[in-house]
Amino acid sequence: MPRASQPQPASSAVRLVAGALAVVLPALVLAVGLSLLLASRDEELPEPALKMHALLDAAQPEVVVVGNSMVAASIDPEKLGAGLADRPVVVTNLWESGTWPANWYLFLKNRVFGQGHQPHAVIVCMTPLVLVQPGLSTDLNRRSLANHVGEYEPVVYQKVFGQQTPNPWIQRLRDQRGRFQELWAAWIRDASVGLFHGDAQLGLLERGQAAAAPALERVFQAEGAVDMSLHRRVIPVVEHSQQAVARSDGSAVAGSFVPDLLDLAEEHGSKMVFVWMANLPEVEAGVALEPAAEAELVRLLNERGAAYIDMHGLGYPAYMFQDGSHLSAAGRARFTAELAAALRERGVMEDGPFAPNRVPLALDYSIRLTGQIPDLGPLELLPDPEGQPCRHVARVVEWTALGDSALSAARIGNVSPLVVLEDGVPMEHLSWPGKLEGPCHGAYVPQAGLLYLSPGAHADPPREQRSYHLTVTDQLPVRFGKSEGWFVYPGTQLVLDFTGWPGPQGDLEVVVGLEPLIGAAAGASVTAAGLPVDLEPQGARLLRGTVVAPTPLGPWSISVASAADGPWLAVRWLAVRSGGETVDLVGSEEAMEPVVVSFMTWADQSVATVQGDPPRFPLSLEPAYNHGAVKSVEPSLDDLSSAAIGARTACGRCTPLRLSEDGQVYERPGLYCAEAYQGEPGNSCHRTGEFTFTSSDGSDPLGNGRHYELVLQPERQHKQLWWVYPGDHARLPLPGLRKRELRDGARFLRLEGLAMAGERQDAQVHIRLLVGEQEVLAESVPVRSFDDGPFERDMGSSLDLRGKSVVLELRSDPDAPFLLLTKLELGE
Amino acid sequence: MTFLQIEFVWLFLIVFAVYWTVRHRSFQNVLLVAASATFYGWVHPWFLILLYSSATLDYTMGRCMARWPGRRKLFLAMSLIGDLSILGYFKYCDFFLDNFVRIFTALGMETSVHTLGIFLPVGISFYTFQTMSYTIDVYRGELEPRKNFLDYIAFLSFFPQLVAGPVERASNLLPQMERRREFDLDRFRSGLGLALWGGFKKACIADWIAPYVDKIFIHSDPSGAMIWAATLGFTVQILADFSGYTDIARGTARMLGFELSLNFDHPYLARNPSDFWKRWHITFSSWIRDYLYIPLGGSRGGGWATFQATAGAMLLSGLWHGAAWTFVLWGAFHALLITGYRFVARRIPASFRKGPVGRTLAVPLMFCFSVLGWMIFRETHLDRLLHYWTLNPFGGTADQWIAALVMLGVVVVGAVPLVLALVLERVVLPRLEGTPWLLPAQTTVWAVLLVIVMAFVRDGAADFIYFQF
Repeated sequence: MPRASQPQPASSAVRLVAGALAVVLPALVLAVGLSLLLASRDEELPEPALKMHALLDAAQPEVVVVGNSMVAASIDPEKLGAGLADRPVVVTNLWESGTWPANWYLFLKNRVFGQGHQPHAVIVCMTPLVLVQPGLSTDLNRRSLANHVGEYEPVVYQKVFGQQTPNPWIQRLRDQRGRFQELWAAWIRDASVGLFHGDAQLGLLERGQAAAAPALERVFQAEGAVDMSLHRRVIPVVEHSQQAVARSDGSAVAGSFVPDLLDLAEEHGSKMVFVWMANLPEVEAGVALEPAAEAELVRLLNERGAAYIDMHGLGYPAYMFQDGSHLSAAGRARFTAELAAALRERGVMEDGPFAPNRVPLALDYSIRLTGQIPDLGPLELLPDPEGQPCRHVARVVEWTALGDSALSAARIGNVSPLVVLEDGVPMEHLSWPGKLEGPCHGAYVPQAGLLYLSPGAHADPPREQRSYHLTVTDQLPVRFGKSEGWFVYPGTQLVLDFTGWPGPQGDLEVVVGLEPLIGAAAGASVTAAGLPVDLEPQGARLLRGTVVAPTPLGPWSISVASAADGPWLAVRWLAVRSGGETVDLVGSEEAMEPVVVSFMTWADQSVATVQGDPPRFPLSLEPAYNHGAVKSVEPSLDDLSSAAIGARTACGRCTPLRLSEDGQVYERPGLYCAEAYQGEPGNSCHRTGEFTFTSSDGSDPLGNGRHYELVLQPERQHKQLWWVYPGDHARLPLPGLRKRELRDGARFLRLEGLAMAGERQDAQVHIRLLVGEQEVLAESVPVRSFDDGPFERDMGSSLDLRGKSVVLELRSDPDAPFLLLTKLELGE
Repeated sequence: MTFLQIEFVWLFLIVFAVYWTVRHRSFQNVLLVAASATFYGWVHPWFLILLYSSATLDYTMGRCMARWPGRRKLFLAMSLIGDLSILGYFKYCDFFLDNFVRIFTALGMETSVHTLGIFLPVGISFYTFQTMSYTIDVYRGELEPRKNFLDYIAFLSFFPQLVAGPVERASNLLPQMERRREFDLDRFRSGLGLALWGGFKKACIADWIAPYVDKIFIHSDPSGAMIWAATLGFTVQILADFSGYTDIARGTARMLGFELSLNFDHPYLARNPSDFWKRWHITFSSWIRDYLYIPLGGSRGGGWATFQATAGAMLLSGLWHGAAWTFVLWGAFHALLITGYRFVARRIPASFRKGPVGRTLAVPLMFCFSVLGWMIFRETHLDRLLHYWTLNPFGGTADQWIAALVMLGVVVVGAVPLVLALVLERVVLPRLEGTPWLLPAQTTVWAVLLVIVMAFVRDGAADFIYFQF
């Protein structure tokens, strides 16, 4: 075997060269690497930034509207521009989805003013709670920040990341390596997918990108992310990101981007408007600021001559929204017109600062209950009727109105003020007798006339030697979930002490709504700012009073009292009004309105019974995009697609159509067609003029010999919407719990709905209301009439519902249009 | 503090400069203790109390064994009870309480016991095993009890390997602490290269793959293809992460004149389960072998006794990794693998097993078992894990396949440097040894690694996976 040759000793020249290379080569690598990593990125801006530049350069806007997807959903820039002045004004929407104030600041700084644009006005579209958030929350606004951040951003670093601006070189390094990592991630993604997928006409990366980007978005969209490459840790500027903290106190305004947005506008001579966008009432509480913080915000805007326009509570119907915060096409048109009018009224196109905005009332007060808390006497315990070993009952018929059942029926909630003392120690208040089953709990449940009680589990003293006493709480309000109970007992007084008056706002008006729970109204009294409030009956149960007084100069108070022999009161509403502003201190005005209950809830669908033989629709099939997917052209059913229904209601996936394959009905009413196009088994989707689907096992529906047809969803219910199909005869009983809420009986019936599909214009739906199986209303109306407005009938007098069943019958003509009922209500 | 933080780089540079300037062994050890305290107590200084408590206990017990040799067993017991109590309380207390409550709840009994929310001090499992090995070795008479507490504390708290190993034996590291160290340029070069390569594996492979793996494992409904691709990703991630840490630890220690034990030896080239444990986390598996498996009987008894010893060692090994049933299951899985292999291997002719075909088949087969084990290790919810096993590994929608393809692409790209390094190590490096071209090749590779690490490293980089153990 030949021996391996030994390396010859290197000559000194070779060693010299090697030594030199040992220095030069790494130096070269470091130089090239660092020059790449520390390069300025001025020359090449990301695509979203370039798009904004192109948009602004082409439009040269006089008004720029800044915000997130709410801008796109709510504002038509052309129509807004047409309404702002006597001449057309050029308006440009500048928005990116999911963005927050930090992003809007960068839009203005780097895209608008940084590029030399000088719009006359800037409109920031926002919700107040988001407006005061200095941080970031999602991949979307992080990505946007990465796209629009400049080289030197001390404000962003301070407010978003909570730190001083780093050394510019470090910032460049972070920036460049983030871009490099994104490119690297995109390259791996596109190359991996391009090898196996996509159009062969395209290059490897192009076809990979075309296939991968939308697929990953679909796979991970539901998981709250956009793209794997956008995972938070590969975005450079979020390396120090802090989770946004929802602060709603006054200090939040100073730490927000609002002062910086105002600085930018002021520096460039633009007028600034902040618009609170339209929301559904359901999301309003989640986007509003505490009154003190909102007042702080408005005061700041007043100091800086900016406008604050509150457009959120315009009472748009649900169908004008796509979801809680995004308007539909109809909502957009209305909102744009109303915003234009509001802006014009504020003089947005005139020179000079805006007139001061009205500052929201922010009252500082504390609440106390004074007087002697009534003692309701000892309780006599009886054995539990169901034989529970450690549960007793006590009869408290005289206090029925203070029990959870009665207060719940009054829509106050399970907030009984009754308290049981076991040997002088308060027991725990629970909401349901079933919770007292089994071992001893040391708790009680006040129900209608009966109080369930389970002694404490301790051994000493023995249970039979303990005493039980009934009283009421002095810890107000009584809370249960979101419900609050405010009570005034005989001989007591509820006092609200205000530290002062926040500022000039106009006269002070105090409104109070009381409900005597036990006893007559006499003996109840209210004073506000030293003036007595006259209480007048409202309806059969309530008292309402209003007093107007000059705004107080110092501390003042409101008191609600009941004389020693007066009634037991529930305070349903207590509000202060001034200068058009209303602050609800206790309850809300809703409590003073007649009670309206719905026949429909999520849980009620099983109680409705329907007779009818809904139509079925045969399909004529033809190939769709890929093998396995077929489509059928059925324009007559377009009105029943999820897309069409979604355009008219707030319901996104509410088509009643289902695909039947040899009698087996597909579960999923597909809205997005991508899955079906890609040939995934068991999918269907319905778009204008086309119904596309795949077979349940991936076989070709054109050749698998199975029978396909469209059928209708048998349940007929989507959330709180109810379908009446042609030929249906539906009976909807009013649930017992709802009926109990109509304490003054029923006086009117209201049905709101939309007619869908169907040719016959005069086909009718026959409506009957049965109380105790007695017909109290019977009427037939054309189904199409629901498109013109709701069906409302006043029965003339209140129907006594006690002990009677209440049933709504709906019968539709066989060839009638489909009727989608969005409201089925009975009211006092 | 972690190795990829800029603070660590500064700390190391300062320690390195002062360390080789003072050159006096005692001063160097004082410096190491101070540097270790800074490193370990950077975020939670109170962690140091636990570390020093363990050190003091075992040092004292070692001294007591020397003073009263007749009571060695008592002192060993006191040492083990002390160490295991600290470890048990901080690592396993909540786990047992939680399971206690679950059992009672399942039996229909209500209990007011609740978990304590105990914060797990980083690296506690590592240094507890390290300090236990000292007292056990002293008890066995294999090691002289030390008198110099400074040397002992420097050994136990030595910052390069303090929080994630290697789990050094006192017999290896303590004598190095007691020796005079001289600066050696070759050792420095070798250490620097190793540390840079470790940093590369952590920043450019492990941290790069991690978000993709996380994204799929937290997905509410991943397809079989996605989850297996993610498991493959985790297989690469955990190797790069843990061996990266070990390489930085060994590299920095080497630059300071210490030689730490080899912890990884190409584990995915293992041919059978026993071979895997001789290549993966070697210092830990040898600890388990010497202090647990052999005392439990090892392979001295019959098949059943060997299985019991294997199962006991592997279950505890699983539990060492984390207080969760999935880790126990992972240990059980490996116990079954080892036992199963012993059973099967006896029935396969040695000529086939050791022949070219057998050897060629054994590596990919063992790799597949390793991947299966990593799925158990990675998924923290037992129900989800069971669900994954019911999924068709080739199932999923077209979109889900694309997500799986992207994951596989990331895995392949992440694995390439590991394969290249193997080629460099086995083919290129031997040819350069002894030639003047080694130095320029080394310095150029260092520069390349440094630039790539700078391009990939992220501020606030994820902790090393094994920190949690």
